Amino acid sequence: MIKILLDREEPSSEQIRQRMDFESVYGGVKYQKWIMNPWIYVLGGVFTALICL
Amino acid sequence: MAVNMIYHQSAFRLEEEMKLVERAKEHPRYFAPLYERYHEAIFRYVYKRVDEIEIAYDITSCVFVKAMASIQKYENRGVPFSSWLFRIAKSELYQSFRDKKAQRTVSIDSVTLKQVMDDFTDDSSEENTAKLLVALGKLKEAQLQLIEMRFFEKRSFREIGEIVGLSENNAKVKTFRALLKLKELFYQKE
Repeated sequence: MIKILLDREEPSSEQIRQRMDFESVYGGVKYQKWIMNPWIYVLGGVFTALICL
Repeated sequence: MAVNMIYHQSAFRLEEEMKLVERAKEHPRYFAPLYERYHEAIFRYVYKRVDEIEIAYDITSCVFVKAMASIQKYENRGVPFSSWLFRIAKSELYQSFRDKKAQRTVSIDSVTLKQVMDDFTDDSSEENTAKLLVALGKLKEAQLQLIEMRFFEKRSFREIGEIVGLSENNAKVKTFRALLKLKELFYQKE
């Protein structure tokens, strides 16, 4: 079902700029890269094994 | 029709933009100038299509995270960088509609709506406005997208084609057919 909105108020450029800073998006990219790095899982496994021993 | 400055850029500006893209390929941090240039346009494109502002901010962030993560795949084939971003935005939007995270919304201002209605009838009464809104809601998604971009956002056929993956001529033909369909739905008796 489609919702149709007439004369909807849009945020100003300043409001958008304040809400969407580059650093938070860049942080998202860094986190994604970190999560995709297979080494953290290998090292995590080794570390867990060491604790268990 | 007003010229969309974000899309219609001078050759110098396009060349400068390609330099920024090449630099952004070296490290995601260098994406900042491209982000500054386009984040507002992408946000407004998304915001017009979802009902909640927070969802629009989230989707826009996802668009840029995806763009930064996959900028190595971007090749300059004469298509402006902004069109590549709009394509990512389009796919992120449809993903959130499929996941039911966002409600498909059409945002229209009454002046533009009246301009579209003038094509159909001289009588822009409230009753006809309501009829047109109902007709819009009955369009297929692909047709609604074309009407939205051409008539509500005033994009050129070339830009529309680049966003939806059609040639300029095909975009023109399909938009014309979508308008005919809208007219048919408008005059259809319930």
